[in-house]
Amino acid sequence: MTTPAYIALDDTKPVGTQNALAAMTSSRDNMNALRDMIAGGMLVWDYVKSNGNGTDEQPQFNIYVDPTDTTHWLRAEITWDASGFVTRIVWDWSNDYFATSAAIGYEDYTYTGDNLSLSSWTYGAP
Amino acid sequence: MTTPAYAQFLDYKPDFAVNTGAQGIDWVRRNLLALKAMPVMGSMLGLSTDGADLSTPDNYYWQRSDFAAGQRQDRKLRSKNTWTDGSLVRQEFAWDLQVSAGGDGWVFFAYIDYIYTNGILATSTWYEGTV
Repeated sequence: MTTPAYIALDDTKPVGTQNALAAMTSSRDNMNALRDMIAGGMLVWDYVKSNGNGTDEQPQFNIYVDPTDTTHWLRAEITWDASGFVTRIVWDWSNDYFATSAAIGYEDYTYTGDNLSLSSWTYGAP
Repeated sequence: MTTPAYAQFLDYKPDFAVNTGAQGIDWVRRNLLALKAMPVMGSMLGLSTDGADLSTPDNYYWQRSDFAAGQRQDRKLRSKNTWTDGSLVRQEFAWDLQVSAGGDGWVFFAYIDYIYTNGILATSTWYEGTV
């Protein structure tokens, strides 16, 4: 049997206007694509570092862009402590190249010695 | 165009007890989109550890940090870790419901073994079930 063309993740599916058969097929195809992304590390996201107020080693922003869906951008604003540990990451997203954005949430990191011992996720803006 | 509020992953959606078929399908898409972000953004769950030496923690725990008493049940996850000479050789995974009383008890459902050659990971093998 010839291997068929690969079915990549489709952000627009499933949608409530599909009939049941089409929606189930879209759901299965997208779940398989997500499984492949996670298992194979085939991230669909392009990565752009933006130093902002930081440095090459400790950038202020990491930005992730889906090249197939330019209306879905993610941005991480990183806070570093004096020892070089990340203490907070604030996430927001944008559908217009960050002309506007909306908060997703933020994660605080606690260390015991050099070991990460606790992280805490909170939805919304800090 | 203003960026709309983010649609977070909800582990209790779709719920066909309250959603119509079309609503349920839309919830599937929203959750898939939230899952798509997790490889770069993380699980949006808090992580905690325990054990005498936190460079080789006995357990990892993932759960919602903002869980409040009386809130809808949510899933929490645990990895029970086995270390040899500082290398992680086995993780046993369990889940529980995050409820006000603390949970019903961990149910282990799978594990993974890591084998090293000269200190470098050579193979990992995933098993369904318990050790």
